[in-house]
Amino acid sequence: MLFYSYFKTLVGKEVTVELKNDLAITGTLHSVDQYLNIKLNNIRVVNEQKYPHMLSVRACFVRGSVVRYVQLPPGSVDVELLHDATRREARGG
Amino acid sequence: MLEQAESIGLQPVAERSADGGPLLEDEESVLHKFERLQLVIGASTDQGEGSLFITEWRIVWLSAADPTLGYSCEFPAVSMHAVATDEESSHRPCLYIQLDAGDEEGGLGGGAGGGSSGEEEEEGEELLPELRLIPADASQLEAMFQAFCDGAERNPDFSEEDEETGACFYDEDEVLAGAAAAAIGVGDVEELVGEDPARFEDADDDEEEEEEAQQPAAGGAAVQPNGC
Repeated sequence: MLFYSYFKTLVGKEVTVELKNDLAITGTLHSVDQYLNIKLNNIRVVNEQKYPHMLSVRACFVRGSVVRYVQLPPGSVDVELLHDATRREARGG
Repeated sequence: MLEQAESIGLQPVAERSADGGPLLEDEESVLHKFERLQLVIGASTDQGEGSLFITEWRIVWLSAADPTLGYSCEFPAVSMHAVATDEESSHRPCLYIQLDAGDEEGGLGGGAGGGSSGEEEEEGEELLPELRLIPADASQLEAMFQAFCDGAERNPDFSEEDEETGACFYDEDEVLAGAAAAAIGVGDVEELVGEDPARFEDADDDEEEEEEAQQPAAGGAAVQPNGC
């Protein structure tokens, strides 16, 4: 649940989602659910050449299980908050 | 084409029910139906128009012209989907779908039957695992997009890597540095200080304070750095 809660705080921010098939999409985080399925708006594809048909895509839904990384805007990351939250979660609290 | 379709995670469907819909499993029902959708597989393999049926756990597209032509795909195999409304080019608005063939990352895909996907490049080009569903009526796109979103949410993965075991990717150096810091009590200073805020003050020249500082730390377990 930790990352679900954390990603909810990033709604409206720009993120880059890298899928396990190497596709990378940058967009505004529209929403996230408990399975970390991600909806992005205003997207642009980082590696356009491989997927030329994605040029005209503006909004998308990415299945949580195929996400490899989510790159976050540095200014939006409160490292202290994450440290505390992960420490609590690791303790089972 | 069928082998190639299988290689990207699409199951060929050659039979259908008497009413023209898909043959359903027990407890499976059609939740949505969209008609007059042109299916294009990969870059440009046009399968013509057909109907799309959304069930609890998969999608089935059946050709309008050819009663033996159809494909199905389970929702867990859908990596991503999006509405593509191309204002610039002549492409018609469509639902763009990428499938997870399940080859590289350990088999999430919907049973890709064609084991020789990457090796038999007869036509000299790799079929990318993408589909486009182009509706005759573009106003259906929002409903189609939402139906795919709902389908994905209805079909989460149940992998062995549960949330508790937490398969995480991490930077080992960073973690070890953090663990070392925690071991010498950097993280929980408040616990170690306890009721004596002066415990960790620098040693002064003053004798009394020196004596206090030299007393062994009572509550803090792993305070002493290694080697001292």
